[in-house]
Amino acid sequence: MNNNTKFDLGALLNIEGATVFFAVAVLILFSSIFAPSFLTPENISNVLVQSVFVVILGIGMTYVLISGGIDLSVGSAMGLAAAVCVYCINAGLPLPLALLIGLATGAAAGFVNAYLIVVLGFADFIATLGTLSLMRGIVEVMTASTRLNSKNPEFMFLAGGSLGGIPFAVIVALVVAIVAGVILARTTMGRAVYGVGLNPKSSFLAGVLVNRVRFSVFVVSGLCAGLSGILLASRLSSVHPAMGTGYELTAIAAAALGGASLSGGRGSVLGTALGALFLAILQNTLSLMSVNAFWFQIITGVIIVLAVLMDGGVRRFVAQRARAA
Amino acid sequence: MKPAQARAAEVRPHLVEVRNVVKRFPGVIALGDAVLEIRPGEVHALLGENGAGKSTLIKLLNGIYQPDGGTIFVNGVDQTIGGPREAQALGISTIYQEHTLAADLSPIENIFLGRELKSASGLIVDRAAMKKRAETLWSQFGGDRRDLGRPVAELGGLKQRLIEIVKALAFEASLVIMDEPTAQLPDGERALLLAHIRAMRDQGVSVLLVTHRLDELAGTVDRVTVFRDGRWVGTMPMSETSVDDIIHKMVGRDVGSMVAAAARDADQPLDDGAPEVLRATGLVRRGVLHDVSLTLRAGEVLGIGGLAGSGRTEVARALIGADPIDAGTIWANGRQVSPSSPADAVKAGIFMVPEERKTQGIVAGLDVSRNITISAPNKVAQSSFIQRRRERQVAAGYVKELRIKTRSPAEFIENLSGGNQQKVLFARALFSDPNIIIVDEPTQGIDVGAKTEVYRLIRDFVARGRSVIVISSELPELLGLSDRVMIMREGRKAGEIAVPIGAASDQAAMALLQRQVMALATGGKIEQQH
Repeated sequence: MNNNTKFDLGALLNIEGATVFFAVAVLILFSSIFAPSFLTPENISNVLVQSVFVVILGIGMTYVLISGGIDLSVGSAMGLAAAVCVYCINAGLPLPLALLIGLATGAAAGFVNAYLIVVLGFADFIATLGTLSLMRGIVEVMTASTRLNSKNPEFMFLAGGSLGGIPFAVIVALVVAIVAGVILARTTMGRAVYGVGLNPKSSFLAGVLVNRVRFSVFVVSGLCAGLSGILLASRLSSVHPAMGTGYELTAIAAAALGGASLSGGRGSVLGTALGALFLAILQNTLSLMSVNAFWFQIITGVIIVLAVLMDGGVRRFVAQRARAA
Repeated sequence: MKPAQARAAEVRPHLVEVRNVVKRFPGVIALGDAVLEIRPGEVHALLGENGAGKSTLIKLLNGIYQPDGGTIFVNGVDQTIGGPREAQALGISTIYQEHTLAADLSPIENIFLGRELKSASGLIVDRAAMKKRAETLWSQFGGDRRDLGRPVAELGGLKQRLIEIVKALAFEASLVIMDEPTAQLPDGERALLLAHIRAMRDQGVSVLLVTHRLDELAGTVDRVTVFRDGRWVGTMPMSETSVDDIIHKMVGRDVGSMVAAAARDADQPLDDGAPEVLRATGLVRRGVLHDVSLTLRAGEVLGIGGLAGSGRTEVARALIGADPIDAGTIWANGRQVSPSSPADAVKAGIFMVPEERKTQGIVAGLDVSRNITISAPNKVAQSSFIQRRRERQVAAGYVKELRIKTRSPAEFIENLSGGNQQKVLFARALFSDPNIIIVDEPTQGIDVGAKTEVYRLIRDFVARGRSVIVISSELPELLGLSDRVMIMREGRKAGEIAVPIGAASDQAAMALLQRQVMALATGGKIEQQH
């Protein structure tokens, strides 16, 4: 215990998200060496915007995962919120109202999940698998006959414009991350989310409103999916039938890289955001290096497994040091 | 401080002998110079407070740990035990405190799990042989052979324990180590399990019994070995010692009678005019509770007794809104309340410290301070933002006040001993500032020292004019703490007994009260046995 002056690796690694932070740093180093165009301002801006969708989606997922649940429907919720939003814009609604309706669509998707799971008692995996399919179907119906395009310049500004040199979408993601991170880490609501994920029985008997917490996290997740979907639609200036497909898995991967546990109780917004950033940089670097896109899947898979292994190793190391001290 | 070598040579050779064994972990000596001698065909109790080194010793005998010094002899031969399988091959089987049976498998499948008997070809599992072997052993325990085909989950606690014993015996164990085998059992089943343990001894099997329940030693145990702080304190025949002497050796100081320590002081009688703080009438939960009513006054301790499964815990859960009720009314502090969750009960001033600390009490993964404030986080928050500094100060206050042994309030709760975890749960209760605390099995699996401190906490709480409901399977504890005991049987209130002041220090009075409680709890069955 007398190593105040010494470099305390254990204490440093114990900081939430430290492992993924090192991983991002190493990857940036690697990328700047092997992909010379990586460090150009345009590319950095591009990577950041590319990461925004998974960052926001992953934040909602982090809430759900920490509470001990899982939400497989977020990719479809993205598509649905985007489709509804663009549909409203094309129908001539004012942009703010259309955006609000898009966000409300995401929240409503989360509400349906929450109702199925918390009130009707469905297993979260099954319930959100069901709404995944259901919402994907609606998106396909909405986009099949009429193409949903929007060249509305204000709408396209969301993911295409920038303020003071910083892409607007990145600013949105930053604000969301800070608000969500502070709520999770500092408020009574955030504390309850961890408690419910670590031990719902004990938390319930101690006076935590477990059902309210479990309900809220799914609504948060749906809301994040809605926002992420709207930004993606703005980026693509259209909504295609498969938009958002597979994003739920990328969001889970980002959260897992960031230290979230699929069995609940562990994770952080910062960790997930860094996890999403890591995946975006990796994809960007591989494409700059002209590596076949299929390799991205393989490398991502390997890295996730390694990261989870390493994270476990780091935690055992920290725990051992704590015991020895 | 070692048993005389001369005496050791007189008796039959030891089945297992642990000589001067040392086990170190980073920063601590878990066992120093441990000595343990187990004779063939004896029931030997291994006693000590939490942290005394009992678990470490068991793990050494199982080969899960390797000693850093000293020797383990099995049948007089110096052995290096490489792991549980090697221990089993040497005739040492262990039944752990946590149930290790696979709930969905049948007893037969459990007994032979991973060690299935094979046919002559060695390829096919010989079901008939396994069934026959299991039935032979099971019948020795007076078991019904039909039990062997059902999933273990459908069997009661006692039968599950017995299946674990059969599992140990199926492979010719000469020593069965049992870690708190009676911890989860109600009194009636506990007596039966102890009878089975005696029967095993009579057939030549040795039993090493680890237990916190000292009242089950007499009549079952032949010799006891006591450890304190990782060191051997003494080994003596049960016939030459007493529970008080054992407690004295375990804690190294005089605690006097545990029960008397728990009881109300004669100079602080319950105020006859104290107002009623809780009243429940006609509580019904279909199939579980039938028309249960109770009252509780300020400053009073109400005990709820009864066998496990009699509805004791369910009454408490109904009172705090953890389970919905189908009928009945609850008044707390003069107001009618209908709690729909424990959160409502907290607001009404009722807090429950539940049974099964690990699964229902502590939130492992959160530190001590967060475990305390979880019952009322708003008290350390400003407009929903938790103020960590204030939270730590509050926690540090409780750590000091309740003498919780922890390196700091930032320590993860799972790293504390059971007794200290229980004290954290009391701090959690106190932090929500209730005037009624319900404690369910408050001293389950905690050591003697921590028990007396828990009793003290309950006494202090009611001394401030607040009230407690105690649920306990340990009759001396239940009667010692309570002013009044209501007894549950099959979801109904079977009766109520007032405990006179001073009864706790009167052995004859306690014995009578215990018989009355058991008679009510069982519908008179126990009374007939006597």
